[in-house]
Amino acid sequence: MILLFLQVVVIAGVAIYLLRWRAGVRRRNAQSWDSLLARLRPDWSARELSDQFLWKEGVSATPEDAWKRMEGPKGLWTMYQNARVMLEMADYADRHDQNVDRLLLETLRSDAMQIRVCVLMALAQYGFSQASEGVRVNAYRAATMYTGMAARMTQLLQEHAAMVVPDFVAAM
Amino acid sequence: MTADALDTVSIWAGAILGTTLFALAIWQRTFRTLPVFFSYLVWCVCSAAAEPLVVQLSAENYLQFYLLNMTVDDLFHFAILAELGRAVLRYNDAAPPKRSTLVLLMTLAIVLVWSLGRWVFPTRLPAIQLTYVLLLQGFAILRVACLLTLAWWSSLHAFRWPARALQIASGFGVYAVVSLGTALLHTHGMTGMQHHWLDQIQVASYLGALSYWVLAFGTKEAESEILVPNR
Repeated sequence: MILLFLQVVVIAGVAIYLLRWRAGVRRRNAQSWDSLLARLRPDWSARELSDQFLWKEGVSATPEDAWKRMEGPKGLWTMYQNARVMLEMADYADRHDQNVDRLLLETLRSDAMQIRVCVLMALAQYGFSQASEGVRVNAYRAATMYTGMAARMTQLLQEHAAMVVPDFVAAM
Repeated sequence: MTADALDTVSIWAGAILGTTLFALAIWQRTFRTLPVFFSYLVWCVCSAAAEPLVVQLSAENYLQFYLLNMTVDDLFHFAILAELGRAVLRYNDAAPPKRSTLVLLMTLAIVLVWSLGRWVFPTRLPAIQLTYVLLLQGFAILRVACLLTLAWWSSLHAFRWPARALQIASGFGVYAVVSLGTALLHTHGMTGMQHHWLDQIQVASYLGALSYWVLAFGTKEAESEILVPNR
């Protein structure tokens, strides 16, 4: 009887996940600049890691220092979520302007994927071994890629959606 | 209402909904954008027409017919999910996914869904019924696993979906989850009418998906949502 109950609960979980996924896709289909900017998480900023954040790639800190400044998993999770939003912003710009550079778009897609994989690996390692060397290295790699992605995103917005740049800079 | 009467109502409802959907799909020219899904509708109409004939002409071979019908039906489901994936790629103007990524996601999904059940193989059953049980369980697992793979992969890339493709995936989602649920409950040794009612729940979910598609295909797709590349 317990097994039956567990099975029903897990199947309900799968159904809820698919419903949430569907709602997410529908929301994505109806997005606007305002709704995208509103989804950027402002609770941690990578300005802590680089003076030229949003304009130039690179982190001006050692892996140990960067880990402290990103407040551990909090900064990692912000990067994970913002990478996804920036990817959606790039797609949105592409849909509304035929002249977006294909290479830049592909680079942003690749950045988003790599950042998220790196963050998930770092978070999984953190779950097992707290702030070990491997966690800090993965977090540093994710942060470096994140600053690069943010700089490329600023460049794309300047060229194709200049009116949202001030809001983007403020939100990041 | 008796079980037999309910079966008859289900068969007729399926035939009417399937034919209506087929007519709407022709009207919406779905064969141009989603040819596999359209072929599936053709198959549904043909198999619904053949079913009463098989019952009348050769009732003793009905189970073989049903197994064949079910297998082709499910193979179509997998082909449609692949077609939806291609439609999403086209809509987002994105490169095809790496095979290794898909294999990894699919393996994860199969392991997750497989681990849900204490799958039993009733070896004492006659071969044909054993085949039926194995197909029922295997297809139920693979259907949900394929759907989860598609959802994970599209989430990973934050892809947008064309409205029509999302409607088709939603209908399949309902049917896939309910059929997995009934396949799991079947492993608890339900017999007689309990067994029959479980099958009826699965039929109801299929009719629900068909009804949803009829409603969805009854409305014209917005110009911006048509399945064409965005540049």
